[in-house]
Amino acid sequence: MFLIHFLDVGRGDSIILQFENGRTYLVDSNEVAGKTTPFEYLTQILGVKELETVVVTHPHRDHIQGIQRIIEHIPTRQIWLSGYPWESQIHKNLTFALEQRQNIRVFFPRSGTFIAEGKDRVQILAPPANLFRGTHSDINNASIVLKVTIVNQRQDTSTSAILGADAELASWMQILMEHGKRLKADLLKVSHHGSQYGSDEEVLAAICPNYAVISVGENLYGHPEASALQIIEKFTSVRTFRTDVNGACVFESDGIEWRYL
Amino acid sequence: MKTTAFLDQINNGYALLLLGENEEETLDVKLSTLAQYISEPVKEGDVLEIIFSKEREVVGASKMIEETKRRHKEAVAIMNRLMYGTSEV
Repeated sequence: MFLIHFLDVGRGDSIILQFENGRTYLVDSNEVAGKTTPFEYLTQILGVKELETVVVTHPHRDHIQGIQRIIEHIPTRQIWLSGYPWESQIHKNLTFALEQRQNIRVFFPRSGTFIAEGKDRVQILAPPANLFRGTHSDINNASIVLKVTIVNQRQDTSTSAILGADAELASWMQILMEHGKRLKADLLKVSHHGSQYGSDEEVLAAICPNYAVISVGENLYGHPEASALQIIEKFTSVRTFRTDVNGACVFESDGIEWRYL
Repeated sequence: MKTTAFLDQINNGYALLLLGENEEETLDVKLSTLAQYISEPVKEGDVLEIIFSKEREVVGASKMIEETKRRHKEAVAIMNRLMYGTSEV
């Protein structure tokens, strides 16, 4: 059984993927006082002893806080970075530490890449080979966007989830152009905490998820924004979850359907 | 009190500033507040000097242009070394 955990980390993202082959991925990390950190969730709740992959979708603070501690304390085989150079001290410390640690492979995934995890697949939808320049937010549009496909070989069926990171319209339009109707997924991690810049009607119509999850916490920015919620709810057929309302959201899939636990 | 701040994000009229030695402290400041002290628009990635009052209100701000450039150059060099094994690409 495949498990996906959307952690409640306040205004930020942290997602854990547990594949049936025993491998675990961490996608982003954020730490907020008073909430279980991704490190604690991995080690104390899930008992994870090693990570196959840590994905840093992009270098904004609310996606990388705690990553360095995690890779220092949990054996990690590889880390994926967007390649966007960012000048914050926390990002500098992380990249500098990665330069020193030869035992962690650093990978810069680009759209079109597939990774097999047993019978399941991880597909890189974004960023493209050449990162965007001159968009509303180049750093957000450099986000690593993933599509995870869970295969049930006996039934010849599959389920899927798209993790939208903080991708904005420029990135989504590129993804839509490349994938069109194949973008369809059952589960969507809504982009950019429900910002108006992360949800587009044409994109949501293509994905047409059964479930949407918004990773969001208390903020002054108005996330999730009413205009984004309207689009998300219009195209989400079953239910929209919010980590600030529902807490950590955990789903499992056998490749036939998703179940909210 | 003067302090250096890194502008990590701009969202809907607010700048998220990272403060402190390791920039672990965060502060949301309205862009309109910064605009009172900085004539040109601030952008993500700017390094700023912020002056706080005793009540921790922003009472002054300026862009640290040379520090912003220095940090950008350093960040590009580290990323290039990770991506290509050399800082000069």
